[in-house]
Amino acid sequence: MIFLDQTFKTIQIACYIVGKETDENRVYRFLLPKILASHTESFFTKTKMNEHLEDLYGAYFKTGIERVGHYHLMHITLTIVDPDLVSDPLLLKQAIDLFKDVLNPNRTINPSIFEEERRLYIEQHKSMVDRKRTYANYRFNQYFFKHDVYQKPLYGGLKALRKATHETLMETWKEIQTNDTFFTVCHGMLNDDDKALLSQALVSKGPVLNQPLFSFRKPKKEVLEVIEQTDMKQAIIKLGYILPIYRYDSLYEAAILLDTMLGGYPESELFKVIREEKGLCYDIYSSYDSYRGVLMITSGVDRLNHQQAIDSIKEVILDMEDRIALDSLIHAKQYVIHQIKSSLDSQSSGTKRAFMRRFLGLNEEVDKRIQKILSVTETDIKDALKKLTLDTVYVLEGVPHETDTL
Amino acid sequence: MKQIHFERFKETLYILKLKNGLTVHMLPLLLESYTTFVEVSIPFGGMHLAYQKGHLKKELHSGIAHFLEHKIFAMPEGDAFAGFSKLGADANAMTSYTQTSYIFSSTEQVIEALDYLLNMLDTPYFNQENVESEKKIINEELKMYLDDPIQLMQNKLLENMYHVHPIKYDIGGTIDSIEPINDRDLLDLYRDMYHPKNRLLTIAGHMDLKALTSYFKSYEKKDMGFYEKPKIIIPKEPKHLVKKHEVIYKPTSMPKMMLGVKLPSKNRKPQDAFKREMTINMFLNMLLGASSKPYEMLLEEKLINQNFFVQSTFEKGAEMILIYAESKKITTLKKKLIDLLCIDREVYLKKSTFDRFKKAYLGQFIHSLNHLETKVYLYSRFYHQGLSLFEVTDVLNEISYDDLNEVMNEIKANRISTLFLKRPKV
Repeated sequence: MIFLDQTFKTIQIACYIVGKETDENRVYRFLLPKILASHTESFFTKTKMNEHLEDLYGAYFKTGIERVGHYHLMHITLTIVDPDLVSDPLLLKQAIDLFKDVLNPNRTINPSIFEEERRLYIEQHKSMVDRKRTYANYRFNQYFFKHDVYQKPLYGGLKALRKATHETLMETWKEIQTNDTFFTVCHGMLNDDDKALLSQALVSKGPVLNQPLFSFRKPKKEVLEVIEQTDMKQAIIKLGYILPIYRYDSLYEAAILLDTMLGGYPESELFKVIREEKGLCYDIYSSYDSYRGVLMITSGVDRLNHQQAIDSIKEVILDMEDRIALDSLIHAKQYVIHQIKSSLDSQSSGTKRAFMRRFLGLNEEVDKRIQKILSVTETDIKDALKKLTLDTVYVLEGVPHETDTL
Repeated sequence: MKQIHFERFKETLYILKLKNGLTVHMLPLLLESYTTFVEVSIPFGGMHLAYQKGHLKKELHSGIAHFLEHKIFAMPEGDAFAGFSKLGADANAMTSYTQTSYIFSSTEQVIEALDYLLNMLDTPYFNQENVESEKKIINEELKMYLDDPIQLMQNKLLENMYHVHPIKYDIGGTIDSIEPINDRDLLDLYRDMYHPKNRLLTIAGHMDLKALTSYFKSYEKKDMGFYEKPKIIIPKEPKHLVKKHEVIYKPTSMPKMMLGVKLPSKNRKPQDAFKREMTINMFLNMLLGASSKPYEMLLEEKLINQNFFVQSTFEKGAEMILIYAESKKITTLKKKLIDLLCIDREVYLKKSTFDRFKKAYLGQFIHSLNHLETKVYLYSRFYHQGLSLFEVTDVLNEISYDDLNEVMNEIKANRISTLFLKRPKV
């Protein structure tokens, strides 16, 4: 169990569950965290559970899943107010009991809640086409990550949702108890008695994990260009680059800074050229993923000018080596360091960071990490840039419906 | 410097009033924090489309407050975003119906970034070229929002609810409404609204109070001249709706509905207005929130899905409830919701639920204090409404169960407008 003593007005109790994803269990690993946190045996409907959370001064659960290398993470976090601020000495104990019930290995799961969640996600999938950005992202992933696990949506897809059964969900929960590793993190102002109470009730358990394996395929032989159409006023463009630099690589910090300089903040080259100089868009950004070794550029542009925008982005990348100057590198470093330091003031970031450090086996302190950022040179950035290869260009082109007016 | 301590929340507020008119409120976190959040807020936003200055009445193009927010970042040396980045600060801005805010967060060089922020606000740099190029960027922003069906429907529903109140216009305006805006319009507006006397500077998080005080001593020497605050004009809105119901036909995967309740609005003292806002908010959550019986029933009957929300909006002269849903049975859902709001509501407003909600709201308030950016935003929002952030819990305590009945009776079927978005008929 990890304890983090930091002054916040709230206390967080989080459980991270790390295991392996398969085609068979994907949909269940997606549904489980939300379903587990939606009720317990004592509060057997969502309504009862929400009433109880309100009674605990608006306590709330946050759940989620993600992929890190070849591992699959599920997390459930409960946040409560600091009991001192509401003068309620029973609050922490009640919260611990609730959290324990949520993760009870032998618990039952209300079948009607399972059916309801399944229905909600099926409808969510069907209506995705109306949420243009989400839809563009989904379609882009289909092409960019073709023949790779990342092509498969975390929720398993429509077919898997339709086929999912309550029985298999229960079996998956049992298997997770045996196969997965559980990490518990408690974050906030806790005294020794509180910590003893938490340690007694909640445990970290499971097999010792190896470091996650990060790898991705080589770029496609030819750049894949796809244009799809939908009823929309803009066009959404997404460019996928392979950047084979991973979390433990020596160029990792350089890749972060390259991403920042390219499209990570308002002084970035893409923001300056595509938005400010050419007025082609309102938003443009790049995002580097060190677990997958990719860098993606996203923008919403005028639907009639999407080719011009794509050409201009490619030009910026081609000229990027000349655009890497000491001044811009210093500014990018300042920005990244600010992001690292300010994340220390966020309780949720701190909770997740504590888990990730343990999970990834990273022991470096924040100062060391900042030092690594500061020591990146222009040559390092250029070396990282050399590894960048365009793989996929995806356009969701707007074709406004005839009744549309602005 | 004035100092006020709020023992219950372990917060201390420091207030400075500078000679050039700027008001400064500081909420330091002295232990274990790195980030400083700084916000300058101006009580001028998207629904302020007319004002009186002296004998002169001025009318504005919708979207101009948001346009001005964009152009404030233009500096003679280039884009101010780059200036903040050079100082390691992360800057942003936003325009609401009644307020424009300029924010940055920083962990180093806070005073330098603060000086840059104030300098940016003191340096209007508008010309024909930079105004025209900004129009292209804002046009893309507006189109982006209109590609979101919720935003599209909200704009249309407000047009169907309000005759003359400027809340019927989108905060960003439209491509047509921003087209005539020129550099002169922006400069006039800047002079009328952006004087330091009309600004609140809020600082929260890690800070060196001594260094800040010393900086303000130097900044207050900057004479910004005489200023007369304009009087915002909000036209009187009739009580009745423009349109009771409309259907938009547009490609969509599932029918969507937005329902709006136009509540009667009158001038109230800030505390009373806020109490009313909280009461209606509580009423809505008790009726249709995640722990309510009706919400559970609507889910069971498969009439709603995850894309369901209930919200209330309270602005001067425009108070409303909005409900959004996606449903295969949209007509049935509409009837159920109207019956619930107008007839069946009393069944669900129990005293025990009310007491539980009071606890939950207190908790939510404490949660919001945990997040610096939210804290700064809420602080200025309440300040411009004539309230203190730390009065919120007092107002919460004043709400009685009877208050719920009072607001409940204001909801009537003839005050409800609905909008459907459906696939075109083949």
